[in-house]
Amino acid sequence: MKKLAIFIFSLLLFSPAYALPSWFKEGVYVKYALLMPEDRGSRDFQIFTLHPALLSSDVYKKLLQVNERWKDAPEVSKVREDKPIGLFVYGDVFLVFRVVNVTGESALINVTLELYNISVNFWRPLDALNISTLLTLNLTDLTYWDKNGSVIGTPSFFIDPQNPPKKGDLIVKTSLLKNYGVHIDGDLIVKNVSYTVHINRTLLTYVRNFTPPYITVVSNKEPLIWAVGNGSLSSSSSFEAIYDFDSGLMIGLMPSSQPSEFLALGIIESSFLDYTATKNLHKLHKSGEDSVKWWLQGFNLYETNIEFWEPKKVEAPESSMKYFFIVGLFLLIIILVKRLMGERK
Amino acid sequence: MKKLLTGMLLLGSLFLSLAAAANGISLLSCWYPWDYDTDVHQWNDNEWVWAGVRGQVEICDGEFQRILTNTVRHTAYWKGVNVDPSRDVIRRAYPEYAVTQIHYRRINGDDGYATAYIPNFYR
Repeated sequence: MKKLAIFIFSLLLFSPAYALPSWFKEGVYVKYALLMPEDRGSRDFQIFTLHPALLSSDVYKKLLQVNERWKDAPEVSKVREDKPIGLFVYGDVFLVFRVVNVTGESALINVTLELYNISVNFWRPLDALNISTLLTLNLTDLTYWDKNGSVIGTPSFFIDPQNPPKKGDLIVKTSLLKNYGVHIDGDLIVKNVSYTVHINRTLLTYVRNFTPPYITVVSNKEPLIWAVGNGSLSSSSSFEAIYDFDSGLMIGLMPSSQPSEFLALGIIESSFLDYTATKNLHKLHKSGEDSVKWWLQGFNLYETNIEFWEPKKVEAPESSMKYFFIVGLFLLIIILVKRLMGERK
Repeated sequence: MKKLLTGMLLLGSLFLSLAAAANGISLLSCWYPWDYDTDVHQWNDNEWVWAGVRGQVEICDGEFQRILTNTVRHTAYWKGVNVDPSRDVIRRAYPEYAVTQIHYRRINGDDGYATAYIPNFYR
């Protein structure tokens, strides 16, 4: 009996207790955006490189359709299963996280990347594409598991503010790419957790303003090489995101991060920038407001049904007590004056 | 015998001329010019980024066919900005497109890319 008590006690002590943020409930969604301004520059576009073997069959089928639709495009730009698919995106991009289901130990997270005004392999236009996947989030250690039961990484869109990531914690299991002909040394792990980034600045997003402090999580940066057929790709993989201190929610995903959800979607590397946020940031630079305000330049919070705790001005409730105080004060002064007068006499 | 020989020669020359003609068509209509692109971002003399890419492209009947990927050269230069040469220079070279991108971070905290791509003039 005593042993059992000790066992339970030690279990309570040593098991990492992940407290989910209070907003983490079924039905919650969080949407991030890269918005393309109307006066888009000729070199303003996003590039996402997809690995056909990692794509879901319906997304791959949808991409195959561009082969039929654009027969006059160069033969080499056909979508094929033995080479990467490059998406040049000239319109808006949204990254949506939906908490579909929460049970005791796990949650189902739907992750969708919505892309608009695309050119597949540079030549084959496509109006829109949704890449989506359903991930199982283990709530005891906050890691995603794929269908085969292997760990993919940790969620990017929130952290547990009570128990933030520590140095060396896994972020993305990028070493999984080795099984698909991609050369990469290792996984993305937490290299640094900082509480001082933008410490004096309000962070502006499309939803609301966030106030410091923030929690910034930065990973190592791994070179990535993929030689395929006549082509070659030489890029890198890294992760950097900034989180709200109170809710643990991601405010922005820095360019050009590779969250674990991208890997699950079949994206192996990308270069993205929120060109609208960049414009807004440049305005802040010009007006000199950049010392107190800032726009992050990657995926920015765009829409959510999470209700944030808003700080309010505290005011004393209106009551008649204050008149009693004033009357009392007057009486005190009168008594004091009378006494002083009396002493003189 | 003489007739057979002449016949053979005639037939042979017919095949040869046919082959030459077929070759001639493709030789005449395909050519391999060099295409290139640069993207320069300069804020002052001591702060700039320069991305470039060049390579030979195959053009047949005036239409782009492919990039000869073994001719593609990526160039990346910068000064006064934060760039890790082994990680922040992205090189993509495929038969359908080639891109050089430098992901830079300025001292004032700005993120950005210098992006050069081909086909550029032969698109």
